[in-house]
Amino acid sequence: MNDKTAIIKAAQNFTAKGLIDKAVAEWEKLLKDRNDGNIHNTIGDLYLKKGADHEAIRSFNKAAEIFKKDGFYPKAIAIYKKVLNIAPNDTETLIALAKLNAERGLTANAIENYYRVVELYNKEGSTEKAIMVVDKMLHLSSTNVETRSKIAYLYFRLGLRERASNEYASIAESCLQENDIARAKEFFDKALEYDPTNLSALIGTSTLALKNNNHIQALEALDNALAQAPHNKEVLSAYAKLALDMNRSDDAKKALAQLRQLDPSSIETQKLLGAVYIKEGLIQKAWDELLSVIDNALDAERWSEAHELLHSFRGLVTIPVKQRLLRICKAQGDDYAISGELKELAALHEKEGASETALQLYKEARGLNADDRATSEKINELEITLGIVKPALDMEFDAAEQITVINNSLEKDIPFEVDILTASGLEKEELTDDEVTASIQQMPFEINIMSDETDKEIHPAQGHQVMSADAFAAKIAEADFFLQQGLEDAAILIYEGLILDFPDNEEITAKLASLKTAGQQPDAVYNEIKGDGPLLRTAADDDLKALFAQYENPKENKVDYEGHYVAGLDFKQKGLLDEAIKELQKAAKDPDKFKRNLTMLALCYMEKKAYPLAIAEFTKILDSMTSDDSTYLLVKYELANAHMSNKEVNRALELYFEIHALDPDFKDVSAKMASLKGQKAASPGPEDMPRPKRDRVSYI
Amino acid sequence: MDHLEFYNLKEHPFSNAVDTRYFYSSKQHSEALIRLKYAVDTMKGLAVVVGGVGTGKTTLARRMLNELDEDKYEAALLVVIHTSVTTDWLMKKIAMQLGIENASDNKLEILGQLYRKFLEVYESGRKSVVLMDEVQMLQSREIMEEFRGLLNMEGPGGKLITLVLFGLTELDDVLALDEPLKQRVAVKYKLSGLDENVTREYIKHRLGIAGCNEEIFTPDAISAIHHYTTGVPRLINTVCDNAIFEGFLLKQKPINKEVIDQIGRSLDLKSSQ
Repeated sequence: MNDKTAIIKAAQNFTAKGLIDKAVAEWEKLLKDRNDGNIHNTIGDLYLKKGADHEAIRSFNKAAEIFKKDGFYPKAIAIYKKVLNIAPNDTETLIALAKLNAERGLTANAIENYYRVVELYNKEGSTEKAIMVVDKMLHLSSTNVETRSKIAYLYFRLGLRERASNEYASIAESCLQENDIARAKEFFDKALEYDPTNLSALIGTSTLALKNNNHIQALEALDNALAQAPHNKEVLSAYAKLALDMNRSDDAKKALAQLRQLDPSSIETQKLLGAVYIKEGLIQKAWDELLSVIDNALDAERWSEAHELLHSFRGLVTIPVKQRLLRICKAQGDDYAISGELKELAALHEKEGASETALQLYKEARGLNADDRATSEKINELEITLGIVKPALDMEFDAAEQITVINNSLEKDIPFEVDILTASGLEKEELTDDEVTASIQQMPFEINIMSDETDKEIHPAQGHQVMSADAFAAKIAEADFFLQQGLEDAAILIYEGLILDFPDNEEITAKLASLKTAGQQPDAVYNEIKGDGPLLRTAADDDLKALFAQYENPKENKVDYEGHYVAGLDFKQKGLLDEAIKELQKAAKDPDKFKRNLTMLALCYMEKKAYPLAIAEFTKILDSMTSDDSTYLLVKYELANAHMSNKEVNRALELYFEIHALDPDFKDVSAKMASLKGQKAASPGPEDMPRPKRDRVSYI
Repeated sequence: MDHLEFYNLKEHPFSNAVDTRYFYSSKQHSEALIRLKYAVDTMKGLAVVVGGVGTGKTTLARRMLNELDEDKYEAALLVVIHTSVTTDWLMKKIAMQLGIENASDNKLEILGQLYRKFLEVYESGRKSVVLMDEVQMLQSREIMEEFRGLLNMEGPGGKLITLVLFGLTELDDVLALDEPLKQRVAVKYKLSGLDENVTREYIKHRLGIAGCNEEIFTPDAISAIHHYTTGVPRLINTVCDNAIFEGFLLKQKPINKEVIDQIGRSLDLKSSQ
């Protein structure tokens, strides 16, 4: 310690006497024991005093390194700045400072330091080094658009036009992701300015045009991209998609044919080609194209993708389609959907004569819904066809149906009582299913099946006489007979009679609804059944209710028309006309405020200079009004203005005349009439035709 | 705070992307515009604007298009962005851009479609105008011959279309590929750099559009900008754009000549002083 104090004292003395070298020598003695940043800093100061800048910088840099290593970042930064005061163009120090700033999250400072380095390297002609530094800057500012823009420009200044263009395109893509359309356009334009063949920029320009609903311009951009890179898969794919959207199937197919040549195994190409065929109505061809894609998705358990692909083929009711839909339903565990698909698949197999497969599928469906009478009937029918069950020819009641119920109960292990069994003195455990069936078929009919879950006793409605099971069965058989003969009306009459007595009977309700639906619209059926008639008055069927609910009251869909209107107004005020129009188009469906909302929509079209659309909307409003309506003249006036803006002078004049006839002082109608008459006199040419607006700039 | 805020700017004033809001009507640009309008209104057939890089041709072309009211003119601006344009493709693009639906792929049919379109436009009391930018890239005699073909289409009142071609000075050589076409040039205008006073006004104009009404360059700096750029608008934009960033890094307001000199050197620009 004494030594250290003595050394410091000696160093200070030497410094005071101006003996810098000796002072430095003293300080350096201390460094032998400990590599101290402060000592290096002091030595640096001494060299600086002496005018030995180079040595001073070396000492300062050592000091800064030590401070940095020890975590004294502010000190290290201060030292680097000290160096830069001596040598502002010291690239090594600038880079060290930039790194330190970057590590500390001071990105802007780091960028500033690097920027200076680039300038220096550029000046001395070290382009490669400059590029490396620019890359570092880019890495640092991957999200800051302004800085990236500057960096892109630096690339340009370094002679790297293509790289500058790529960077601008990349910035534009970021802006696009952020939905900053204006900036995206600015940067795509810059990218194309530096490299008109920049594919990303051309594709991006196309995407931008699409965002603005300008399909033609989008296609042009892709045309240009294709002219640059006729074999670029990304461009071809984008082109095919766009052509598909624009219903240009031939163009889409051409692009897809090229894509297939380039990559015969591309699933994306298959998907697009499938979509083209679907659009062309070539469903079978589309199926052939997409089958392997669908199966791939299924095997990879990408259910939603598979479902989406299959969705287009729902109209193609074939076994392969249904099998795959069933697989998806099973994977998703939706019993209701599974049951539906199983039955449809079973029906298809049955139609093709594969009765055993159909039976298995029906049984599987019934396993999901034991109360599904129709399926149970189908199973019985098939079992009889296949000889598994003998037909009950002489039965007075539909015993087969009841057997199904029993079978169901057996399968489900539901406790049941069958009077007949008790009457015969047999216990259920002693019988096989076939024996039960046989016993039932042999006994005179008097049957009651009871279970915890089902109550199949025939209960007449209150106020009605009890109908015997025999009579009930006879009525059903009679109705069935009429149905077989094609006499639906007669069958309906019987069912309607029966439902008065048995309003809870689901089978009759369903049959009735099914018969009526065959000849009417669902809402009509529902209104009839639900109305004042007796049919469902006392026994509402929940499923049926749910089915019809969608027709009952559209307001219950709870579309927030007011919300759309308010949003539309908001967008309009902000000048975002396209968004406003979208919202107001939704709001215009509000039956209560249709006039107000449609008027606002029409005004948006006016503002957008889409006069024909404004005219259509104003006309709609006017058609829904009478001349007594308080806003009748106002709407007519707006309609006239729209025609005038659309250069349809005659029509505008007619409307102004009509307004004038009703109220000569209405707004400035008189003045407008006078002005229009003057115009007509001056240019008596043909009635101006509305010309669609289009983008008048194109790239070739 | 970024450089825009530092100089009270709402947006980049010196972007080189074409933005018609920033169009500065210098004397020569106004003159060019008047002559081109005259050529179009009197259906002169062919008008040509040439100028060095960055002298404002593209801006002028956009401005010209904006001046052509859709009610009176069936106008289109085509910007050439690559050299391998074929005659078929070019004719089809012109047809499409003039609103011909289902433009044929067959050039002869396209010419028929175009003729019918021109007549239709003429009969509706309007005028067909095709503006083309960067035409010097179309170094093909065949294309020049097609242009001549278009100019030969005449109706009861004379020519049915006006072509206005914009390009670098090399455009003269391209037009010379078809001598008869070159002879048809009815109006020609050459754009050059702005003088120092106009350069000052130009910078002031752009700063004003971007929201800044104060002097952010010293008079010496403006003078230096003019000397480095020889008044070429695009170069003025580039130098000023850099100057704003550099000035911000140095926290300098107004920006002085030294900053401009540094940028001039960085951009390898030579001072004309």
